[in-house]
Amino acid sequence: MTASIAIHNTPLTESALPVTFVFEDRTITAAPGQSIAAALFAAGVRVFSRSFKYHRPRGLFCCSGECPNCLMQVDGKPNVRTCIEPARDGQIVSRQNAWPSADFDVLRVFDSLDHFLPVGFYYKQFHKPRWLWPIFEHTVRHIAGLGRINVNRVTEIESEVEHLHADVCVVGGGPAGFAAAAAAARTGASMLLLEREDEPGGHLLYDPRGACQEVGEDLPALNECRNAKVLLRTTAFGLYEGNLLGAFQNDRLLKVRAKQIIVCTGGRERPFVFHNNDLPGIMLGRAALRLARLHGVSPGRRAVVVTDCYRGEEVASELLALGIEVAAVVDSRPTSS
Amino acid sequence: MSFQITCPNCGPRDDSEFRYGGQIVPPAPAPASTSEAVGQRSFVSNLPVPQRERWFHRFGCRRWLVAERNTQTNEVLATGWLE
Repeated sequence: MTASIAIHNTPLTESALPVTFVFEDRTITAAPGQSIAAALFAAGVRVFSRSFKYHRPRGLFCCSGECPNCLMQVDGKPNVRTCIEPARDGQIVSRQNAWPSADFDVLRVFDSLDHFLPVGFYYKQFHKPRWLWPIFEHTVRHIAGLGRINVNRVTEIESEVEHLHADVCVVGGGPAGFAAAAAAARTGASMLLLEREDEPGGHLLYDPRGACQEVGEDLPALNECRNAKVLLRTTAFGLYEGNLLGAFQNDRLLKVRAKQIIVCTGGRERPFVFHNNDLPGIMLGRAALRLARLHGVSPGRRAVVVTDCYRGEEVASELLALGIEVAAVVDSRPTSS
Repeated sequence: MSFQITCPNCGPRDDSEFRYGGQIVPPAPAPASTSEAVGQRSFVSNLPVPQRERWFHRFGCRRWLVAERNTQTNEVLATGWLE
């Protein structure tokens, strides 16, 4: 993976055949390149998880690996972000933190009992009377926590550490990251670009406004440079003393030592705060576009766009272009400019 | 702690390759009493200033070296061989 250029060297693009995986008691077929969550959404799944304490239903929300709504158990591994985890043949996927199922969760009753369940109730309420504690412990242990770890299964996790050195390290492979990387590589500096996803391009992959020309122009330039290296599916997680950048690629830890670090991680949409804003069916504008453009799954038939900035109208027009009826655009700004 | 030390033989390397060998203290006058001798041997100055230290390049050339390190910023100012 650390060859001079590793672009498009992903298992996803190698096969063009659809894959099938098992979801609870169903068999789901996914198009090549689709994430697990997108395939499930296409198959009609709307409740992806249950909230940690009150077991409120949670649907696909950010579709970019930034919220906890799509955490599922995949091949025995708990809390996998299924919206960015590619679907593969033979995977066994199930939802977690619900009983008897995520669609009909008896524990949903906690939501209406919230007055009796203050913060920390699990260890403050149940210790008296003492003789009942073993029963409480058994119950609380089964209700608490997210996901299940199979203690009998030995997972084959590689835990390698790789030390990388570069003059310039760019975090993020969107248009800004690639422009910075190309500019650095042209000067002859050794350059390392880390991109979280399978493909570079950032928001241009699903947002056609800029077209992919900018990245398209920079990519060949980078490919020609012997001193440039692009690592895909690599997530940077922290900057430490001495300009040490921590990142991981699957199970491998990368310790990147660079003279200059350029952070081009892009923007994030934030959810609107209103009552019941966590229910399935409410998603970020980017999530809808990512579902449609990256995974080929229609996010719905009819939409209401809530916004406080110019992006709302852009999202609305793109939804219209995707054939989705836009019932209304609600702009919270007092006067539209 | 994740600074780099420039080994005179191997070049800049992560601190995790090295073993710390203690502060180099200048020779002190002969102690007048036992307690003073114990103090000289037991206590280091531990001041927030650049200090000279021994380091052993354990996962490298396996030689002892001297580094001058700012204990506040972990900046290694100079390195050389241990005489």
